[in-house]
Amino acid sequence: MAEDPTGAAPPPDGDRPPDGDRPAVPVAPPGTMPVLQAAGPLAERSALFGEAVALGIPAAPARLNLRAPAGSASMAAAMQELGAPGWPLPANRWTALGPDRQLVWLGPDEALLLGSDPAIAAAREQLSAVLGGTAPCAITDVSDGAATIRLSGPRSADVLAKGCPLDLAVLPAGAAVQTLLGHLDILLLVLEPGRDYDIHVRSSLAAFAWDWLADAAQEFL
Amino acid sequence: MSQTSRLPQGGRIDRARSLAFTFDGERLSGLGGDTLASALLANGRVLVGRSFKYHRPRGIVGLGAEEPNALVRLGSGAAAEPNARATCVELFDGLAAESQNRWPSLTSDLGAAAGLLAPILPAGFYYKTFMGPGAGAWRVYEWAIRRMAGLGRAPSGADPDRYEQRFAHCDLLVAGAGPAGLAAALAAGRSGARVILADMDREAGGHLLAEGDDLAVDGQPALGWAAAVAAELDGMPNVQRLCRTALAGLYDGNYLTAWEQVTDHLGPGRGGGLPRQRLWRIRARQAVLATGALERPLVFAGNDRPGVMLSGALRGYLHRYAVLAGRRVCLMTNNDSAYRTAIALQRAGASCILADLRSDGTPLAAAARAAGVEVLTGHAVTQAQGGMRVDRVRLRKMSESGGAMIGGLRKEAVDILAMSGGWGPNVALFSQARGRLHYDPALTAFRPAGGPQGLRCAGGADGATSLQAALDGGVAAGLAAAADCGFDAAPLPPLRAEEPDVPADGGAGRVRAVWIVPGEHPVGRGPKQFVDFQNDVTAGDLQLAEREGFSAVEHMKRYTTTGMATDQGKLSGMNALGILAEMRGTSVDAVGHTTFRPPYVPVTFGAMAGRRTGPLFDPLRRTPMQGWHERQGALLETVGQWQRPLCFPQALPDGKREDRAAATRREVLAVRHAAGLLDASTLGKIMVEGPDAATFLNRLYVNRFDSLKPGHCRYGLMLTENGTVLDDGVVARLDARRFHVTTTTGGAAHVLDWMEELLQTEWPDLQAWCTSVTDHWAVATLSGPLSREILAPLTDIDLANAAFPFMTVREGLVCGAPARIFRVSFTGELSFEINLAARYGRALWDCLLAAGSDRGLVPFGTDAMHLLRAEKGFIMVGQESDGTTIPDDLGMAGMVKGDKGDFIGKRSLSRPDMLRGDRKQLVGLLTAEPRTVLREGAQIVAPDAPDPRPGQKVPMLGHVTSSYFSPTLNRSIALALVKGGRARIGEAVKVPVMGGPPVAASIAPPIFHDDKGAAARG
Repeated sequence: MAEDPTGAAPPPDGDRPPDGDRPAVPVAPPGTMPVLQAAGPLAERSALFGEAVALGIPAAPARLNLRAPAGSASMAAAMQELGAPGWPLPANRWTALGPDRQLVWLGPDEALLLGSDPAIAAAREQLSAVLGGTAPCAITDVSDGAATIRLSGPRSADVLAKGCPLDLAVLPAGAAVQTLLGHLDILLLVLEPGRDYDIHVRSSLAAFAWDWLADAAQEFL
Repeated sequence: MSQTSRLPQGGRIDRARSLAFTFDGERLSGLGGDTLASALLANGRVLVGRSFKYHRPRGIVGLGAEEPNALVRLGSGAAAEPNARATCVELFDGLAAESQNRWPSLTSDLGAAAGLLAPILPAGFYYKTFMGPGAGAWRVYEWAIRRMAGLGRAPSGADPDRYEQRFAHCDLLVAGAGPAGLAAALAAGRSGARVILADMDREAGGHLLAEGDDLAVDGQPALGWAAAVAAELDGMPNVQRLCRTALAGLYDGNYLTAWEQVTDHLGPGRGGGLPRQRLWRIRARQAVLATGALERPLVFAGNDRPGVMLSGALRGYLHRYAVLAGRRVCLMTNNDSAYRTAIALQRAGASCILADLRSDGTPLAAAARAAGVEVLTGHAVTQAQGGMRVDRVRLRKMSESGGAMIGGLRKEAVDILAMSGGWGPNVALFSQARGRLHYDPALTAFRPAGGPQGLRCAGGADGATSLQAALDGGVAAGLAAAADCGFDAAPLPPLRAEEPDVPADGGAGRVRAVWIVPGEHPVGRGPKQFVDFQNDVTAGDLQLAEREGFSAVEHMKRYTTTGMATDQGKLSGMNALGILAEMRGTSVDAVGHTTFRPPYVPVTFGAMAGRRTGPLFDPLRRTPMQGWHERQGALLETVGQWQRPLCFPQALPDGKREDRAAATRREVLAVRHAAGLLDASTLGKIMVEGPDAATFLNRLYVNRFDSLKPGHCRYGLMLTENGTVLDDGVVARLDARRFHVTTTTGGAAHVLDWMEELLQTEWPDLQAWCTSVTDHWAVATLSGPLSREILAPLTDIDLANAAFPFMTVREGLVCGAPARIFRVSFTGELSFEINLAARYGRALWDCLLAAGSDRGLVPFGTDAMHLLRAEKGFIMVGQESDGTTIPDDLGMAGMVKGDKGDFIGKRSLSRPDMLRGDRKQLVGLLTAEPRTVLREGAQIVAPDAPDPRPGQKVPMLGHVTSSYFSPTLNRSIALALVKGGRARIGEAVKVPVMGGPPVAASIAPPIFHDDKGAAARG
């Protein structure tokens, strides 16, 4: 048996009490636990402001990933409940559902619902009221799976064009495209063509995406 | 007095702006608007470098990208740039240029001794001459040849400059801003089409910039017209004009790459915030190639002497830069264009002799004679003579057939010899895109004959030989391209050109094809007649290649290296084809041409790399706890795009830090005896949801998931269709229709793709959906006998063994945040895999470490994790398995549930080869000497096997897959795949070691610690 170099001197294997002798593990009483501070993947990045280009971090939305067959009547009814234009959604578009919800087409059987925590919690209830527990669909909370970077300013398209192979000039307001930014997979939402874009990127790659964009914006700052 | 060759007036140069520069250390001056080449010529410098193979002195030949000789090194240190073409380098104040391929100096180069060896350096010499003695001789020769050969030297340090890349899209891409390109861009631009007009020069005009002021368009001087069109284009919001931009490649579907030299012309460090260069990737619906025409050299004895230049280039230096490169000029031509040069030079003060290879003359001869030029029809220069510069030409009259010289020899002292072998359309880009070419005997050149969809040529690139034809072709191509993009173009009023020397029919005069100018010696015997200047290929080399059977055009190219230099044969290609055709006694069309390849001009590696250097080289994925790991000084390993901590070395009392082995040992012991914390956020996590989720997983994995009860977890093994192990991981059933699936860190993306592919293509009837939640969850794995005590105060989940047994999942709160905890174990100890929304990952980490600090909790890395699982004999996919491993090889045959219906790989598992008894099976390996750690990958042989020797075959029993020194057991352990291994347990084997005695070991069960699994269940 090797010795423990940390000196913490845990009980050696042989001294372990058998399972039955262990004291019952207490359940933590409520209110005594430390509260965890939330921090997004861009917590250590600060916004960049320039007349030509600005990089910002919008309030982190909650995200629900919705899957259902393209012809799903129950999902169509659920969408109607949310005020959305049916199911499947119009391709390559995002739609604002009121002031703080966005619904994004991701594919013929997939969409992404974005919004504030309470708005998404409310939407979730609306959805389950319509869909119940048996409808052929999948609703997955992916709130922390991605981060949003807002790129704005008159030269924002020039920054994007350094890594996005799409023709940005033909993307109208409301376009939602899954594309590349350099080596990164991104979801690009056009807020105002040539000016304001939301870039959604995997949380683990958000810092890299930010650094890539900040570097790309350098010549316009 | 500097700039002795600069005329007192004229040229498109800024005489008020004097620019100092150095060439080989000598201080010289030029003027604003100069190129390095024009400034050197203005200073009377013709000699600029040494050639590649023979180190012959070489001078400036051309005016632009076609230049084969004037390759120089710019700048110094890390920012130095080798092989810059002096003709394309805009002069700036302080520019420092050096000649290349010479030592110790340009005028006394020891390498020129190679010229004396020329008889043993013919085409293909390295295949023939350097054959022996002995088998190793080539290595010695190669060493010497590599030192001698090569162009320039790479810079010494990391490139300090910034390079950009960007994508662009347009309806019409116009290559070249000469008259045809401008006309095409204007026609399309006015229609409203999105146009990109790219040109290598800093200003618009193309070849007009090299011409005199006697050309006009629509009544205004041609260059004034060009400037007005450029200004109009610049004012159009739908037109983007790129200057200093070379189109390097044209690929399928009009995808182009363009290389923009954004701030090179300002000098190093003067670009402000702008990059040095920018690589464009352009998608164009239509493209018009107005890339002009290139003048060919003539092939004659001594044609590479410094001072032998292209006629059009000489004219360009005169008109654009007010440089009269020589005072006593001889010109040799096979077409009319050199007459323009002769007349212009004569008027500028030179005295010219023009030898016209055509015996029947031209109407232009009268004008030339009137200007004072001595015109000799049917004459040729049989040899150019001189050392560091041409100083004498030998002229003789040619026979009617062109095959021989007749008449007396005339010697003339000259300081420049200009040559014109005719003009050929610059079809490089067109041909790159697989445009077809045909040989036009009237042009003596290949011209476009039908391109792919959406690709047109215009102007000189299309064979136009007059300004009017170029303008007409440009307008037509621009309108047609705009129309093809759906733009109704108002027809552009015809542009009217005025050209003094052009006959009314627009022709540029007859061209006489003289592929090798007859000399005083047979080809290959007398002074060299160069075809390819940059690769030092002579007419004699081509003859030799043909004689030796390399007569197919692609063979000849490779055997002689004609056209394979950095100039891509811009000047040499057509001459080589003509010579080959003549030698084979066939037509040029029958010979064909070689393939044009990108890039049209050399593109820097900096531009190709762009900003993809340093921290932006490759995306890095970060877990929520990554910052903590980095601040702790964790040693990191690359796993896919993640950087996972290997271990967390601690400071020692003596101020040093633990090494990797000590840190790992400490972390392993902490997990075995107290508790450890692992950042497992990188694990692939996929939510599989839907009414058919269980059915789907049943078909995907070898084991059952329909029988898995909600709240329970099961280890799953996934196979390829061949029955080999693809991935593994724990699957947890959250409720009837929702599964939380984990994959290996490296396999996550592939497994999700595989699931999606199966659902979309094989089982579209299944109602199940897969959503990646890898990034949504932060995962902290708390592992060790004390982990329950550490976690309990932080959660409302009852952690007691009865309430939360091994291989179950519970949802609840941890520190107030919703959590999903899996009681699974990869270390063999009591473990809780705590999943929290990623935003809480970092705080959870801190909180757990604080909560466990008084119980000996330490963070541990992947080194310790690998060791801990190996002690338990848990496999790692990709380590214990390769592309051939099936479940039974790993001792997991019992997991395979054949009674549950079909699953991926099932059928393959019953193939005879999968049932063989001697397949490699997973076993443990214990060395006889417990401190010896085997090398992973080492081969395992029988104990009586002979020592490996060359020529001696030793039967191999298997190989070591994992090997460690186990702190828990205080001895080495290893996992191995051994043929029929399970039946050999207890047997002795031997592991050969390179450079040492073989290691004795014995086969053991693949589990070294806690074989009942009690700790994990505790």
